[in-house]
Amino acid sequence: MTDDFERALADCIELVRAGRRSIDDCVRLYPHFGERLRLELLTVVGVQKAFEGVTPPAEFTERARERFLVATGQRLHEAMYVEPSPTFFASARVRFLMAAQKMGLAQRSRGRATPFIAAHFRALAGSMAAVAVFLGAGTYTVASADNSLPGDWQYPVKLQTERVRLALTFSDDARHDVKLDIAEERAEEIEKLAERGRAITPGVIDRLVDQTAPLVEAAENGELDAEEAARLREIAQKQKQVLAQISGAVEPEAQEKLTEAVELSRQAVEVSARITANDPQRPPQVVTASVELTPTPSPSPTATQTAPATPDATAPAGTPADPATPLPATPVEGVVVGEEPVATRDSIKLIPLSSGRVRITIPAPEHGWSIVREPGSSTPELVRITNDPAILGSHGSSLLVISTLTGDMYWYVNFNGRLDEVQMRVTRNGKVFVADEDVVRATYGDLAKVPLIVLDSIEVIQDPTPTPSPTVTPTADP
Amino acid sequence: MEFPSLQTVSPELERATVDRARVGDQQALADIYDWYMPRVYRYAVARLGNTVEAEDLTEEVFLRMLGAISDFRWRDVPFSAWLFRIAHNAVATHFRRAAQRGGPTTAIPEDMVDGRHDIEAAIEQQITIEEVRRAAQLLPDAQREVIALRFAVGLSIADTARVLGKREGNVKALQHKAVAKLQKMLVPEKDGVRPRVQ
Repeated sequence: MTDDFERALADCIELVRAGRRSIDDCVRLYPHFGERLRLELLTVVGVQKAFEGVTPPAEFTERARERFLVATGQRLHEAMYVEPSPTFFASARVRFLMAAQKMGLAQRSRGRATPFIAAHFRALAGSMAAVAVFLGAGTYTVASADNSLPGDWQYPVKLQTERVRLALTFSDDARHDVKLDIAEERAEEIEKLAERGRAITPGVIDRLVDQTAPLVEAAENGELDAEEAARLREIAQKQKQVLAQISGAVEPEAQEKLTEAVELSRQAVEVSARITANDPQRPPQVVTASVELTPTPSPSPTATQTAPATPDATAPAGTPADPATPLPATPVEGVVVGEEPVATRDSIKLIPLSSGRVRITIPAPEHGWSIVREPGSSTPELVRITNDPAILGSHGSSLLVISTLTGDMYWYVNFNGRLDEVQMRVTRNGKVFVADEDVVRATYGDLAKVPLIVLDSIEVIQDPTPTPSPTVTPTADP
Repeated sequence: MEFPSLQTVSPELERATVDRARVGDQQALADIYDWYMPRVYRYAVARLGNTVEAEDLTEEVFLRMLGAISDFRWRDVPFSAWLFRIAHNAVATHFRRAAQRGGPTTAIPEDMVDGRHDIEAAIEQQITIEEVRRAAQLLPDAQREVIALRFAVGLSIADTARVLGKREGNVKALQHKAVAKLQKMLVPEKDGVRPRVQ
């Protein structure tokens, strides 16, 4: 009955609104609802008429229209290559009429690429005073606002300038670039606020979300090309880092918004990494270790992150092992591998491996992974593990290269016909950085499973104990 | 009693104008502004109940529109639904920030309606915007939103559903509940005595 009445009311509102029935006609159409229907329709008419009487004050209408025309005039003005002049902003109406006459030129101008947009920005930068007038204040400059942070008095100017910058940008590609710039700016603002110990309010995080969400949507709709997606990935990674850094410093009421922002950044990383991974034109990719690893208290006082004085000396040269090197039939010197699985993750049995200062777990031989012998070395500084006898011979072939001094780990993978380098773990200036797990997973899918397990298991011993004699053959038949 | 007319421009003209505005035609942008500004303002008053904030929000909506119009695509939603989606989001942001500041929005001033005497003369039931506003304040937010979009802006059920991201049936249900409550507060029963909303 309620549903019937809802439908009758909705139908009658449309009929009366369209002038096809009077209220009394409608009541006759639905006699069983009678007086109730009539009263509610009268209410609707009364409410709508009351709202119709709400009109913007004339002074506001005039003022607001002028400001709007100034904003649109700025956009068209730039499109016509006319040098900015103070009078432009003081007489938007005049310019509006001029612009209408020159419309053909403006129409031809649209859609031109970067140099055209760059001209817009140069002109915009040269018209700081004009923009200040547009914003209703003439004493401060856009330049100083550029460095402002949320909470600063110039900050609204910065936001307004960004809007104008977007309004001046016509082609889709250029608009994506501007939006990416702004999203990056929001992340940097949060980072600076945190550095200066200033409040990070929900509104601050809100703006980050507002700026990032449309980019994620554009990426999901296939509107970003691989280059733009790569930039989005970088920005989203930065956002993730910044948000992780401030998680303990935001105002309590911002926590919920922070959670939303973190999830959005994760989505941005995932969708953009997917785009770049599937781009048929992409060059070989280098995924950089970007997340600083925070040392966690370890039950063993010897299992800590190590910062050697010259970490780069132990990094692999960037080329994988010689594919011609045969798999070892004998134990690899300096490497001790346990026989019995010590854990199982994702249905993969893991066995322990120790060498030099490093302790890790690797897949048991039955999963097809084996250790590559380090040719010509009696004290290996690198352990190499592969899942392919030919080493990187076909799609999905992987080679893990791990420093036994620092625990640094590089993953080389044959992916979509190209050899990618993924810096899974790198020591730089005494700090340990790891690859963004979301990027690795989104880019390489299941191929990333084993490398991430190995990465997660790395322990570096501060004072290495003497390496025992090898007692176990570490390799397996592939 | 008839409904006031809300459609001021033909769909064909609106489409052509919006298409020109998307590529930066200032005349088209100005036309859109002139057509829609009163409705956006009305919506802002209906949602915020405060003319000062409604003015700010109206300007905010059109600046957002200016920044986004080149991204507008006809295949997604009608232009009015797209524009009022911007307005809806701006209102949501406004309320969120007001909540962060910890203060309620200021009260509606006495002079909020220009030419109020004209309206009073025109309305058979003599319902004033002040009474509507007070009554609407007693509705849940979702119902208030539907009332604003349906009767302050004049959107169809379908477009209201698009703006709010709800199903049409849901909008009809909210509309019915809201109208039933407003009727009890605003329109006289058979004894002819109209209740007064304080």
